[in-house]
Amino acid sequence: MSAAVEQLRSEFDTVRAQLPGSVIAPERRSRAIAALCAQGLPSAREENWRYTNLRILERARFAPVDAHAEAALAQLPETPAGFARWVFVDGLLRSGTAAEDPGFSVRSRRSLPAALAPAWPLGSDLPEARLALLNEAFALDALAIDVHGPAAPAGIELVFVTASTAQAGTSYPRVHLRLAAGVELTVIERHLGAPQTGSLVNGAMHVELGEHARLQHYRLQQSAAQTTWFDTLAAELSAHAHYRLLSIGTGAQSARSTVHVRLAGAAAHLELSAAALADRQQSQDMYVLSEHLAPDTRTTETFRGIASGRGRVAFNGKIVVHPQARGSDSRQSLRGLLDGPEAEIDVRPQLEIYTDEVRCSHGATAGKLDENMLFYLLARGIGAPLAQQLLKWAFLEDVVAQIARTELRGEVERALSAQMNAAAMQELC
Amino acid sequence: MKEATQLEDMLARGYQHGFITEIDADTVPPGLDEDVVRLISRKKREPAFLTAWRLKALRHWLTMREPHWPHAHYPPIDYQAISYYSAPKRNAEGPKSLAEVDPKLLATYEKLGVPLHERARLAGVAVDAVFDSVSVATTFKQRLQEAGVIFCPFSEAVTTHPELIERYLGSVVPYSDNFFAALNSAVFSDGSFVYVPQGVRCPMELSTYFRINAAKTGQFERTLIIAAEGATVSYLEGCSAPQRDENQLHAAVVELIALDEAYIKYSTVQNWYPGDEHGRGGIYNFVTKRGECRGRNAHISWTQVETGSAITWKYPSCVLRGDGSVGEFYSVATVNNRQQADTGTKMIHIGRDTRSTIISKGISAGHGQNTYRGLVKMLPSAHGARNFTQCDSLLMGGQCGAHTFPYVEVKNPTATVEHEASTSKISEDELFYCLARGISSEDAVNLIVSGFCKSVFKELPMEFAVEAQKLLAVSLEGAVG
Repeated sequence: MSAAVEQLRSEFDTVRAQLPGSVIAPERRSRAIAALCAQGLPSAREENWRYTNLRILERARFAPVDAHAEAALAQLPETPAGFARWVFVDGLLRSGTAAEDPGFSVRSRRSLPAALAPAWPLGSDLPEARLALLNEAFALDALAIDVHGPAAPAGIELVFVTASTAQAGTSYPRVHLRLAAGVELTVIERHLGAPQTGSLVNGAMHVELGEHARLQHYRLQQSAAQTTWFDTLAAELSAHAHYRLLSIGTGAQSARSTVHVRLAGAAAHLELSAAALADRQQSQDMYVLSEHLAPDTRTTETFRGIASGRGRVAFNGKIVVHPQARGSDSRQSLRGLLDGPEAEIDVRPQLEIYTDEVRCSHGATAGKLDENMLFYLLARGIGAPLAQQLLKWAFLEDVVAQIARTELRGEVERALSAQMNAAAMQELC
Repeated sequence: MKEATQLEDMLARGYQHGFITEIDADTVPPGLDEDVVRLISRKKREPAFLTAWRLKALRHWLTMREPHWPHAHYPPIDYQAISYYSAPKRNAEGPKSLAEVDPKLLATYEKLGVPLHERARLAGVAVDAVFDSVSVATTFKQRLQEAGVIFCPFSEAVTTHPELIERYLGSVVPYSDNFFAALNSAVFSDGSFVYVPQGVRCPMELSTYFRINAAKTGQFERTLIIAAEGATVSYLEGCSAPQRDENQLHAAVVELIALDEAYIKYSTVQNWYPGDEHGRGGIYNFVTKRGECRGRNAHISWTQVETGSAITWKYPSCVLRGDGSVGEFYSVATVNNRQQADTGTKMIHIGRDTRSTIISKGISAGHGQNTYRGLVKMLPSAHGARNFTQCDSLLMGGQCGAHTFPYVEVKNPTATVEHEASTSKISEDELFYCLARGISSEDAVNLIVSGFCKSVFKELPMEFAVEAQKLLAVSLEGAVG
């Protein structure tokens, strides 16, 4: 057993009595820790983790953050019109009230008596879900969102703020979102952090979509510069459900997002668009596994990543078409742009297909800005820095243009632009 | 219905190259330890450096674990139950001419259609035929000698050119490279050695037929090809094995070294026994093939047509070290019945302005599982390097699998990598078009598959291209009903 696993077990033994049983039952926590100890923590020697910076796990304090620093909640971005907001600080719900309408319920499980807490699907049967197991063992709170009628607000905003350092422990945000048949919802999920704090975050989210349900999920990872951010998102789609996941990763020192989507009902559709920027020594890694388990299911994946400075951007998209998923259609377009002598792009578009009634295609590229395009702009009197910015902008546009909400799009554009400018300034210096 | 029955009959026709030649073989008892390695080395009268190298490889192999990451399933292999050396018995002094070679052996080549005897001369091909583990006859030596080309069995090269062997052996695939390469380094029995000196264009295509024969003997060839500055060589490798119920292990290592401006083209048609329709028998083909472009503008091209073997585990790779060097990989891999193939390539770009092209065509039928696994790596020094990869898969039937696992790793901002892939079944429209014009469904499928593989076949030398096309048709018989 490695030192990290021993550390993990001993920390669990120390804090287990204080972990709330209503969030996750004690026996499930023990099972999760046992499974994790048996499997070991992820290591860079493993295929699906080779591009992730996992060094922090060797010296992490796994116990959940107990002394909560006061976060600057006043500086949060404005809540979009018609949205209800819930704010978590270091994995604990801090603002946002419980809702108990007939068609809509949002509850912090920490506040529930243990006996009332319904069972959640286990994370341990998912591939690459070891960090979700870690979350399951230590999570201090979890938000359960159940939408089954028209009473729901236009949208839900979830804000996760990290305020404590990694020495104080790990934050474990945890959300379970369930949409009943035919329900439509927009969710904006933000990950922010107090500046200059080196924190460790390990989130877990479970999404269940009923038949014909439609979820538009925006995920903005803007954690503080020294944060190490891990996340596991698991989703299960029923027949004709449509899941649009749009992820923008700009923050954190090292970020790894593991997404596992099961297209379990006929004609279920996953539409994933992701953009990631890495500069300085940042690393942005995303692993997406999409499993086609029913006929006529569809996956569309678009990824655009820019690595500047000594940054590293990795995207590993795996699509599995099972024998019963006849008539499936999957498309992947993965593109990486290198913008620094020590930058690195790693892309892996993978297909695993077990039936012949399919159409699957993928395209992946990695390279620099097109010189012809650059020349075109320079020849029209546009200076080199601006021309490069414009082209990078156009490169990300395939993803950014998917943001339907104008104010959110504006905000994302400003954030991307600020980061690209900072990277360009760094290059110039 | 009638057509379906015909197709089933064709499918049941079985492996046509399945026959066993009964020859008194000189076989070492099963098992592997230092004594066996020393025995192999002694039998081949090898110099001390080679014995020491084999022993180092064995000791390293004992510390390694068999890799299980390939997308293939098979029962565990008992490496101590395999016999690691088997040579056809020779007369005390060995055959002095083809007339002295065991006639049964020659008859076997006849059945396989190896152009060894008269046909070799007519076809203009020099054949260094490997029967199990020891080369028995080599033709066209004279013409090659005149050109200064060394083309001989590996064991002969060890005696005649030990300095070349010592210098180059293991320099591309070190004994510690991987589990199967370590095993091969410890027990390799024979193979081919080619050295093309500076500025020489090899006057003919070089060809070797490998053949696995005696039961329970692993085949561990070692091939080493060196093209010196400005040299050019084209090497053909073709395989066929007799039908047999037990699985046979084959772990070969091929090393190619291309110096400044040299060109090596290595073509393979692999048609080993794939096992029957229930997955019984068949060859386990675990091969390490790697070429290194050491000099400026060196060029290595791999072309392979893989239709045989129960399991194929093979990634012919190029290390593009020299500035401006070029690597190419063209592959057609077919699986039918219960065959499993995990094959692809690695292109490691180190030098400036290096270029690589990967064209891979996978065809899956029956219950076959076909995997393309490829790595394109641009190291920080690979300024201006480029890669283009295309891998397409064709599926025939609802129970087969086609998988694509590419790895793109770029660490230089001036390098460009493009990868595209598609997977689909045989187009019903194309089939209908052919059938409506009176073409039988079998011919229609062959036609469509040939079209699908055209970009690879055109890279093969002519005689190989014809054979490959036939092989493909045979291995896919009855795949679409």
